[in-house]
Amino acid sequence: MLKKRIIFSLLYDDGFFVQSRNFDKQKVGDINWLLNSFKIENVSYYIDELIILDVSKKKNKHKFISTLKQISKFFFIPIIAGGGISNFKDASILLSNGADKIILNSILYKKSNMIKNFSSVYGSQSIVAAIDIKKKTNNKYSVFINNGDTEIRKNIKDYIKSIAKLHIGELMINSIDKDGTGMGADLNSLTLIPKKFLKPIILAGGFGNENHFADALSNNKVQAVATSNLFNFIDDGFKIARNHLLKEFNLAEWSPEKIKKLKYKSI
Amino acid sequence: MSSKYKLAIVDMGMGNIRSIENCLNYLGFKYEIIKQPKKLEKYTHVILPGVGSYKKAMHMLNKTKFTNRIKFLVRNKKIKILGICLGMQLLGSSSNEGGYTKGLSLIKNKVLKFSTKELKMKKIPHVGFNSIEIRSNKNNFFKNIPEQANFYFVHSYRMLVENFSDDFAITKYGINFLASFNKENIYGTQFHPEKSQNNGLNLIKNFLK
Repeated sequence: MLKKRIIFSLLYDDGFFVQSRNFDKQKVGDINWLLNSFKIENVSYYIDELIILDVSKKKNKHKFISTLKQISKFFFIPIIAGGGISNFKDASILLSNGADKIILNSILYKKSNMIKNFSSVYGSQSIVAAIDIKKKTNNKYSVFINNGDTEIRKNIKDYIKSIAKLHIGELMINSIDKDGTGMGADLNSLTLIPKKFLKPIILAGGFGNENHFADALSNNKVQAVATSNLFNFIDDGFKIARNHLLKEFNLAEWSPEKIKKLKYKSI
Repeated sequence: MSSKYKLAIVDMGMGNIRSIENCLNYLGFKYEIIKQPKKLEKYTHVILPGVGSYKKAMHMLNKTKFTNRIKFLVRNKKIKILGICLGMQLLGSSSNEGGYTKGLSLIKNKVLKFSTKELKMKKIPHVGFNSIEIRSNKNNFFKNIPEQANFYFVHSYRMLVENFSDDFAITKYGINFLASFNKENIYGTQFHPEKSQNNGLNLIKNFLK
């Protein structure tokens, strides 16, 4: 049986991993912090996929790629990378340096005809379309691009319908309002998705504990949940959350001991 | 492990070869990446990875003359080949992805898109971890793989189970389709072993043993 997924997102900003709250970003630590203090390798045993997103205002692609390469060495689960992908070269560099899938956002709005170029080579299954949404004062949702800076003028339902027609594999919906709050995800946003939308949905933003995951995973519209919170699942957080969820949900289960045992001695 | 193995990864310039390299490095297996078919006969084991378009991949294999070289060496020199994801599909006779495309035809199976009838409103692509059911394990390809082990799938096209008496495993997504097989010196996985934690690491090890 196909399992639901728990995804962890790392937000990378100019050499640092950041904690985001409503898209305001705070630097937490660099790659050494991530490897040695955060112990990202231990996290890999208790999640199903990893997102690495370059949210730097000024992109240093070389540095980001080297970070991606370093992290992908010991991740035997899929890695999704992205952040500011605007042309074919951006995508192909990521896909040949450790990413299994790419995540696209602003380009879906700005140059949607480009998506075909990606899918004709890498297949639509390697493309995750992401949209950042925000509830406005009138209780209606709108879509933001450019890292949450720019509101687009399109009706959100029409926008999602237009994305459904693109050659994409999955759709990720990220709530700017819930981002980093740890108060639970915006399950209401699922009503924006048309009934006949047959691509897997990843819900992101607001997950603070395993009960929030449970609330989202029990919704049959949701195939995966994603959190980028560096603090809510620190230490054994993902282990505890996963073990709790395994009792109720159909999630994949692995053996960290076996993975460690398979490691070649001289590494 | 036999010390005589010599492993090549075929690089078609499509998709994530690095994840297979990471996996081999972790397990401690040496390998070389080849972009030209000339040197292929030096190897005892070949991994044919692949994500993306069938048509594009076959076009690359034909253009670089890998197609004939692989077919000859697998059939006559009995080198071991492991096709991963699209790589497994390429081992088949044909696919209807982007129009009819002839495959390497090392096995007879055809590649077809999951039909809406098969899927019964299930989402496509089939993406995520799914369990496999091992139907036959005479050659021990699935050694140390527990029953209902989970592997990572991401695909919209599938092969059905036909003509298999050797090792094979199925997965159910709407219908039962071919998840993995070993027929003599030919191996395939529709899933990504390099992205399937201890289950996948073990399977790669079994191929190279």
